[in-house]
Amino acid sequence: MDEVIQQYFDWDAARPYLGDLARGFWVTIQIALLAELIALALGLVLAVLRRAGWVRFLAIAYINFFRAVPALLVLIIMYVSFPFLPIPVIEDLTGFQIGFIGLGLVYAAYIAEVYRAGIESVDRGQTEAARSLGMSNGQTMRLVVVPQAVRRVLPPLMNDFIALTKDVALVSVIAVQDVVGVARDAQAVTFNSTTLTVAVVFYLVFTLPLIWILDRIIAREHRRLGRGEIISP
Amino acid sequence: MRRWIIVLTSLLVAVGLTLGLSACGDDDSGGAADTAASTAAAADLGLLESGKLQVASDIPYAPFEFTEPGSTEAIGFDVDLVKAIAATPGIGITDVEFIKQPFDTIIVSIAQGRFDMSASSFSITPERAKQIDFSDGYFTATQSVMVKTGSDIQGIDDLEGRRIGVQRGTTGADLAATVKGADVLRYEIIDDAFNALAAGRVDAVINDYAVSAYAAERRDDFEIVDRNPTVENYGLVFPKDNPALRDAFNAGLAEIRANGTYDEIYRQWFGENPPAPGEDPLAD
Repeated sequence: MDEVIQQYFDWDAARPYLGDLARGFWVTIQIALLAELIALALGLVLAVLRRAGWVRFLAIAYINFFRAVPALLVLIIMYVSFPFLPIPVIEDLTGFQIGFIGLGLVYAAYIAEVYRAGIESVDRGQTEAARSLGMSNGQTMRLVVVPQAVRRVLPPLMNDFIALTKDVALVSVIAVQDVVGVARDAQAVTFNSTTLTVAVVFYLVFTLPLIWILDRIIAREHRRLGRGEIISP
Repeated sequence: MRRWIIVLTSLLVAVGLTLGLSACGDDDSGGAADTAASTAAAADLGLLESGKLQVASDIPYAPFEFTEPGSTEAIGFDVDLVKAIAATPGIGITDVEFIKQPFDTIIVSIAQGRFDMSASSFSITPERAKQIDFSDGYFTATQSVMVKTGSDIQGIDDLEGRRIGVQRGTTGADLAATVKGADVLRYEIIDDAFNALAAGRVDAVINDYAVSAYAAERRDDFEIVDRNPTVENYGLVFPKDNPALRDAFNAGLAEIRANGTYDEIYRQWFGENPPAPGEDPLAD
């Protein structure tokens, strides 16, 4: 039993690596946030384009492609091929940049679908009322539909953010030292898994509060709905 | 209608679990029954499957263990060495299987008893020796710095602040970590580090000389600029609870050194005679 505890909780074995692990945490957080920004912005664009004219086929193609291909494969392809392309900015992308751009591109596809569900759930009456008031399609979307849609899909959006944060661990295969990469290197030398325990704790500390906040937002929405209030956008 | 769905699902889950768990158990089963084919010596060696030697190895790591394109058969210095030692009368095994495993998981796998042994260019280090047992040294290795031809880097001292590619979990990675201000990029297999060098993602690769030299000979764009004076010995890796196999391999290794088989294998893969014991491996 002592050996079990020692394998996962030997702080002396982990202590020399705490500085590197902290740097790894920071790398993970940065990639997660940057990728999420890209995914939220690009996802919204895709969701809106999906309802437009002929452009919607491009949007659908993008969404289906990035939902089908594993994120790991996307990252690897970008990493090993880009330096050989004679395209200015792309050939100089570092592993870190490919990390958040690649994950952003992949998750934009999932988030686009989440937005779509939200947009379609907003009552047609809202759109009709806005149009009859003289608002254009663009204004209707921007001022009436999307704000309502986004509130409804906060839970799945938060789920996708948590999934994205966990997928940041994939960058350890393109030589980016995130918290998982640092923990693995330490384990390969010391044969002790305490650094991996620290990585697990990091993920718990990072995502559990997000889940808790999410639950509170949902509960608050339910309370407001329950009281029969009209939810203004 | 709904009850049979529940029954069917439970049945599928039960079958799935049974198949999955029994597949994991395959390594232990079948060994005890098959003693007829093995010699008395082999039966004492504590092999997972009697009469067969299962060797974990990080393939590719040319020229020690790798495969030709289009083939799955392992070849290389380590492969020939293990087969030659296994063929000696003290061991007498001809069925040698090399099984591909990621380098940084091998030590743990051996300690857990998943394989009989490993031959994967492991440098003998005290940390590793705490987890597993090493054989006597079978190859003397040095670290090297490899760069793209025409690079301004002349040696390890020029690497300050540069980007260095290494393979995860290797002594090369440890050496790179000591270079001041250098950005160390750790890859899963050594070929990924070589690709990174070719792509310009790293300025140099720190890795065992023999492996880097093998790659540099075959490409115009790589050259070796430095060999690090620390000398390491490769050892074969055995689980701590099987000293019989390790001792048998030490005896076999001594035998093939004595009868010239070792020199023959060395010449085949490195094109020169092995250094005499005590000779400085850096003296060309």
